[in-house]
Amino acid sequence: MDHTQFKAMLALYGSSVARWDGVSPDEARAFMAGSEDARKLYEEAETLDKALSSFQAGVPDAAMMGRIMRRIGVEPGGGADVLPFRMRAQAVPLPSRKVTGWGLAAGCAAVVVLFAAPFVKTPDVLPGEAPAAQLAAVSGSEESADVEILLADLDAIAEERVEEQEIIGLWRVAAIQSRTVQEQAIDHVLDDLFFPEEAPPQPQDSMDMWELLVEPDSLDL
Amino acid sequence: MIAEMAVTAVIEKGPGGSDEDLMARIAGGDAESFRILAKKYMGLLYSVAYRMFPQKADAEDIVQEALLRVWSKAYLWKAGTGAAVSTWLYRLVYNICIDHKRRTGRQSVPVDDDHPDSGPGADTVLQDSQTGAIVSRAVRALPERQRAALVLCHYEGLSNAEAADIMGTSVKGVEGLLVRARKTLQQDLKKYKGVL
Repeated sequence: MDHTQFKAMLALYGSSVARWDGVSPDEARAFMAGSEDARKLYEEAETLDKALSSFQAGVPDAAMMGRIMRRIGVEPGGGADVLPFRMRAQAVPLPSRKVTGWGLAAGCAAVVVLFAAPFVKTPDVLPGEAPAAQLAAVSGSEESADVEILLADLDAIAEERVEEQEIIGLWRVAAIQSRTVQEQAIDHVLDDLFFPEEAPPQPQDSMDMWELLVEPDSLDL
Repeated sequence: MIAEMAVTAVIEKGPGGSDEDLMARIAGGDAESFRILAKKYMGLLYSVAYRMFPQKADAEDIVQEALLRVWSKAYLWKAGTGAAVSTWLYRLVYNICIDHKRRTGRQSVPVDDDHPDSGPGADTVLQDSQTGAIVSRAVRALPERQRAALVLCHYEGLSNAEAADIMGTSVKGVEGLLVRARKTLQQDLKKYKGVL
């Protein structure tokens, strides 16, 4: 070890010789034992470190945990106007300036699937009708005189409803996944941004993108 | 022996399992797992936030925002990539601190003394709290990235590589920030008799 390296270690890590990269504590102490200048520099760094340690952070307010749990809608007392944080963060904004190409594409695909999918053909029955009306429509046909045929028709109606719900569920999943992809894409862009040292404020579009992540209240319900 | 190792592993992980297990459950909406993780890391987040913004109200706002983002964005955290949850949390609070400074536009803020230091005697306590306040102002006066490098490396004990990953810069960049931060503090604090 030489004097230059010793000074560099002090400048980087201060007096914590255990943290010195590439230099063992024994090596550092041996060098100091042989150099008065090194010992003087070390004492200065030690004094600075002692002063820095006087800057204590303390502890947060004990009630903060309760406030956070109320914000996420777990503990009572949040108030009727405080929606669960997760619900607001994952709400589908309709309409919203945040709808992107991914969201639009997912929506269009869902519309196509909803109206182009081959439903079970039941000319007298439409999705959304009350079961009683559907039963009456089916029981009025000549073929429904047979109980088994009636039950088969009812099964078809049930399958149709299940298929309808599955399609709606797929649409919701697609919408959520599109937001996930969008937000992951934003994360990647932010990760790739190079922050110059002591740089001036970021361009406005970067701040807008960051606001998407930092300010959940900005999401439209 | 295997049973002993399993018990040891459970004890070391803590209540609720490992941090990765907690994050996976939080992503599924488990509030109790979130409470466990939040209690475990609240002090860490507050430590960083308060040293970046030595106002109790600001620091608590930042911590609250960070934890709420953990709750809402847990599904974005990628398990199995080798990154520790603590590193992700450090990065989260660092980014919120940087954004907080931009949103508030604060350049210099009077430091509060809500957290006086404790010591063995009355005179020592007074001197330490005065020194703490002076050092706090000096740290607060550093440019934000120098301050962040100092907080992460000196106060939080992270390696230069970890701090570089959190700050989105290179190891050389962090080293440059640290050297300048310590040099600036050395010069500033020399003006105060009895501090250095």
